Amino acid sequence: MHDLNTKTAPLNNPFATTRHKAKRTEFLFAQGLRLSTYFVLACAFYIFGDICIKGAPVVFQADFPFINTDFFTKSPETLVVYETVDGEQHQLGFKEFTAFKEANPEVQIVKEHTHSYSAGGILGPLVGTALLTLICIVVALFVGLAAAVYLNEYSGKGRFMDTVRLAILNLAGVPSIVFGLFGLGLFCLFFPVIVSEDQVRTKLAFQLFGSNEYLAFQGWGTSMLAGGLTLAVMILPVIITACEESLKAIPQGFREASLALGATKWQSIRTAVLPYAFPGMLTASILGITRVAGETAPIMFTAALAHKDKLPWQDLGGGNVIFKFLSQSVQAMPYHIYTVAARIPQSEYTKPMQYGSVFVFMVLVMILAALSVYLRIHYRSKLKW
Amino acid sequence: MSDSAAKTERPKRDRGPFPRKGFQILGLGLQDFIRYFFGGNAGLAIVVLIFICLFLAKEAIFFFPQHHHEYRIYRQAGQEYVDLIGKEIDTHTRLGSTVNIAYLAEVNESSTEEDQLVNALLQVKTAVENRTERLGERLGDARESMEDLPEEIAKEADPAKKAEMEKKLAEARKLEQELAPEWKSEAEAALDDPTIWDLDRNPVRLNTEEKVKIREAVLMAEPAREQDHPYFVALRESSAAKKEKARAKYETFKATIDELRNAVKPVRDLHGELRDVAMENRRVLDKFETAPARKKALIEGAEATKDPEEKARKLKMAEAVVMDTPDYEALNKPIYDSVPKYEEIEPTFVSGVTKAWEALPDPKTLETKSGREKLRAAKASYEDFLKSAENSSEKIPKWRHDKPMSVLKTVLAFFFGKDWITNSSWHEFYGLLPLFSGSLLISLIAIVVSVPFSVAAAVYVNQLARSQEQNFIKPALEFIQAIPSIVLGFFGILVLGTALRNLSHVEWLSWVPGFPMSERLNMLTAGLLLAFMAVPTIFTLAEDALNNVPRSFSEASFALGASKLQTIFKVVMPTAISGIVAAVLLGFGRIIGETMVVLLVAGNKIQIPDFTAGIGVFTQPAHTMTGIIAQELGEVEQGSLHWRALFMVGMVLFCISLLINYFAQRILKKFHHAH
Amino acid sequence: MRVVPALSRNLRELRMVDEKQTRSLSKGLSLKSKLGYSMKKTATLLAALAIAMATTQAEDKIVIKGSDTLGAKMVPQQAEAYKAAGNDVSFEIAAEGSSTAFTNLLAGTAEIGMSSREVKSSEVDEFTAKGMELKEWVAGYDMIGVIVNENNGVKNLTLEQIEKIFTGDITDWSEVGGAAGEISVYTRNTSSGTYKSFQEMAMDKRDYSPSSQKMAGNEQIAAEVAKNPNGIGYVGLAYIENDGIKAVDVDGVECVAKNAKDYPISRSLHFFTIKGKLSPAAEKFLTWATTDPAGTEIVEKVGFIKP
Repeated sequence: MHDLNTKTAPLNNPFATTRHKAKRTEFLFAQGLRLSTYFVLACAFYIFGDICIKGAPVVFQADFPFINTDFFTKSPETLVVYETVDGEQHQLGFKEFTAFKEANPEVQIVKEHTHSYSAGGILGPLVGTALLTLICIVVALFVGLAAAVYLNEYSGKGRFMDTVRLAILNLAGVPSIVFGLFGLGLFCLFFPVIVSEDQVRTKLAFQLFGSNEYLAFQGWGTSMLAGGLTLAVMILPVIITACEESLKAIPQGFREASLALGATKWQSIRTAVLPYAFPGMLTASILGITRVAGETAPIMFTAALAHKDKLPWQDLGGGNVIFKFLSQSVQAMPYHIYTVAARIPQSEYTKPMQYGSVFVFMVLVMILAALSVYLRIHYRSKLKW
Repeated sequence: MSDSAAKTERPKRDRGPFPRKGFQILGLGLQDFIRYFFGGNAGLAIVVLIFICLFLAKEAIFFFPQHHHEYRIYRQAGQEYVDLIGKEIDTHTRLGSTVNIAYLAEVNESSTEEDQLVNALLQVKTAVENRTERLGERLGDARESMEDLPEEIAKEADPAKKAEMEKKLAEARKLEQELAPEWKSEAEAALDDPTIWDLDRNPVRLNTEEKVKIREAVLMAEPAREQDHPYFVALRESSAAKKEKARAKYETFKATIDELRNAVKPVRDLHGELRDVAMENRRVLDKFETAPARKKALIEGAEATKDPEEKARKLKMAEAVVMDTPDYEALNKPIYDSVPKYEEIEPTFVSGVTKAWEALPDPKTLETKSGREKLRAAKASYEDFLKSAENSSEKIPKWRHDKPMSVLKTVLAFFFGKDWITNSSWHEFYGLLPLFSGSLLISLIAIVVSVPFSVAAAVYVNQLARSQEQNFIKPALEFIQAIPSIVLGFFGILVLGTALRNLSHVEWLSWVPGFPMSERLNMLTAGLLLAFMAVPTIFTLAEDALNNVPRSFSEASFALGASKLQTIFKVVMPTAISGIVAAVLLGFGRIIGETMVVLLVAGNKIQIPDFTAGIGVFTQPAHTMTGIIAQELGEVEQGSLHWRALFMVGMVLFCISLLINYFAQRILKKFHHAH
Repeated sequence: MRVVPALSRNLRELRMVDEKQTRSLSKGLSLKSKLGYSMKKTATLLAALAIAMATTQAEDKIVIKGSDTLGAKMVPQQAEAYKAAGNDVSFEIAAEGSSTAFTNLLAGTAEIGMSSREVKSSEVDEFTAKGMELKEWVAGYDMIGVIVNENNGVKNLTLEQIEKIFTGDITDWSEVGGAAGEISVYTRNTSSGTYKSFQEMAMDKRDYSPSSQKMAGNEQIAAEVAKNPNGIGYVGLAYIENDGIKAVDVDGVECVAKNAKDYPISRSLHFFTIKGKLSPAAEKFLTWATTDPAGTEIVEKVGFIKP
């Protein structure tokens, strides 16, 4: 189709009089469009390259095992830069430094200054982000998928359903910070908890029958669960819309054929619709994960924490382990990056942590994005009707 | 379609050719439960989404009564009155300051050369100090102990300690001898580096002789043994002398300015007195407002405690809470009493300023460009002052503390208020305008920058690119969409901000409006990053729209002999235009709701941008609606006015994004119907 | 009665969760069986989540929230040192600004609050209104340094000039004896204790100029001033040694620890706790941090003055 006008034009074309100049402008214009396309890509490449160049040396190293394992197995801690009498400068993480001082009491330390969050690694934030994303995606996929199946397969086409669809579509564009506000108001400050009497902080509390515990509507506080659910609510409209799209793409004939063979409604959905919609849903959910993992605003008030020295599963004590686990705040990668970008200075000592974190985070997100692109292409070539 | 399928599945009582299997409870079979399961989830999703609206609305709606209430107290405490005078003084201060800057520009002009050289020395010296920091500190320490130790040794009686100190002294001496040449060579090496001569401010071209002098001066300023270079001592002296001469020359100018600035004195004194009165009034009124709650809490607290002593103490405290309604009339008496005095001094104040203003020299007679500009700009300040003086003198005699506050006015005070001042010791103002204008301007920059690129890319990929190219560009742009906004914010704060600022200081770019930028973090930086973020969104949707243009359209166009370019711009684009508009709208929606980039990069200045700067307004910092929520929400008390104001901002954002989406969807729908 | 399968399934889940709570809950739920299906479902879900959140804080976890001045450097390092000294506790520290200390103490989401300013009377009222009383611990002393770019020729400012600069009455460096250039004012965000203390000590309680830029923390102010030759800002004593900036003398007094008495903009830093609600672990940590030499040594190391 591209060269329709040039190739198929007969030689004695009556229009082909002053083609020369027009052709040149056409060429220039096309190149202009091309240039602006590649300019955007060049910008992306530059940003990516800048972060890689400064971040990769933190993560990789020249000798075995080629990866800076400390960066992935430690949580952020304070960096101590100290000078010994002979004027030599050393850097150590706070824990190591304390241990070093104890082990070598004879070493005289002349000067020491500290840089917060600049030593150690990013294990805590990574784990936190993984957990938040997991909670979010489990809830959002469960509800979103089921809702999409209902909207596309069961519900009618009435005015009401159209309104609902439009509302969901519109909510997909609501800023994430607004979801953060909502999550804070609903999950952190309103949802009910069961507590003993002395922990009740709200008037909206009811004594549970036959016990001295109260169902108090005082919220879960900043917690992993609140953050995960906030993210789930945020991504829900996107997941519903995407899943419905992929259900819609299944030809109506599939369902009709299945029903005609005597299958029940559910059987036909299960065997003739869902398997073919699966690739689309998978892509949607991976894109959902990508977006959720990168969001900072909704978790700022609902889940995230700048400094936490234990991993979420450490030190839970006895009792309701699951609940203690879910009700703690966590560190998260995006919030950690916010902290290191805004809260600590930019110096030679802090740069490794800053760029290292961003590099790892970006590579992770990119891998997810690449996965979704790959899956889409892969399945598109496989499934054809 | 699907409903017809559903109908066929309705449970039928008569057994057809396909008997239904499975259990049935109350006439409902497995199929119905599955249906209800899905329906329930859909219902849950909708309930949650309705919850969002309710929750935002709940906090936001209560904002207005509370806001109105606070404004009433503001009036009752007499703060409104004080601010009336305060505004007059503020405009006067600005006028005085502008004129004074013009005067100072004139005076400093005379010694520009000397000052620039001294400044260049300072910059080079600081840069060298930074590079030799560690060595310099050690050398400085050694020299300090060399100076201090002998005295201490003389004082010390204990011979053991004395010996130890002497040892230390010897060590310090040795170290000093070792380090001094080392420091010198390091400093010289630093001075040899040409980049150290890149001066940040007052770009002067140093000639060789001056460079040599600076070099000498820097090397003379040894750690802990700083010596001034005679050349620069002379420079400073000559600068001071020249300034003195200039001051004498502009003596009358200065006198006029002083006259202008001093005219305010009686009004300022009055304002100061009344400010204290109103502040105290406010404290009394706030106490009164919270008294019932405090009393109740104390009594409740007393009941809850088991310790009798504590209980008695709390009850006593509850007893002591004053519940009487304050006497507003008496509280405001000093304010009312001040009206005659104000009316007496105000005319002399205004006439004093007017007289001094008229005595100022003509801007044309000034020698420096910046002085002339400032003096011209002062005219606007002067008119502002006259206006506000008139306004105050008109309103002050009529002011009453018990005049009812109109509801509409306080509602408008939120939507059109020009100040967002929180955590104040005076009165908190919640005006949306500075935040809204910031959000809007940043989004505008982003849209203006991103639309050409993204639409061009969409046209190129859809109409011109070969398929291999398509397969490369499309996923690549999707990757851009996947970059988390915090990463872009990080890039902005660490790289782009500084790079842009440095670029704006390049001399041959100074014609660009707004250049050179003084701030690293500003609307332009934020806007560019957001533009980058918006490209994939707009590109994808626009490309979609182009794709939906039926092939027959372009084929028909080609058949008529139109060229590729003509087809694109005369046939394909006009057909797809509504889809592209929808794409731009959705992109705009995404940009205006973006939080982290603007929080980190926009500069967070809560002020309506100064539009008098023309297009240069884009290089000013600003705060945004999303940014303010992110910055302040975590820190305010739940249920306070500030808290609710932030929810109200959230509500506004919510409505804006719904509106944008709604229109975009409508346009898209129409577009799809058309084809 | 359509709800039976869903409900029984939910209850089965619940039983696995916690017997005692489930029993009381199922009683409560059975009373409401007239509610519609989806309501019921939502209610059950809520209740299940409610149980899921029935928690008590682990005893040896200390949650500290509040001031950035304390929480960005000093307290995390104290916490690390405290643990290194062999105490088996864990810490959660969030440093968003002094106001968060009080809001979180009030909401029960923090055990220790850090504040770089005095408690406001309105805040005391809020605590009394909930039957709580605050206890104050002095964590150390701080001087707020007024910082300018290292290439700025201005070395000394009077308190009055500082007030005028930060309120926007003075807008050009030439008015305070520097080279001409529009002043860029950097302040902390509004919930910061430094913001408030500075307003009270150096600005006669007047409001900041609207053209001031609100920064997230001390470090960010220092970074911006270091990058902007016309910038001015204020930071805690611990930050004035940062690269690219220098502290000006205020009324002729240099901003160094030994001048703490004469320097006009100095203040005390606090920990706040609620009387009677402090866990032994947190109390032990606070006592250590405010009195033990190993704890107060860190106060000096990060650049503040010992309590």
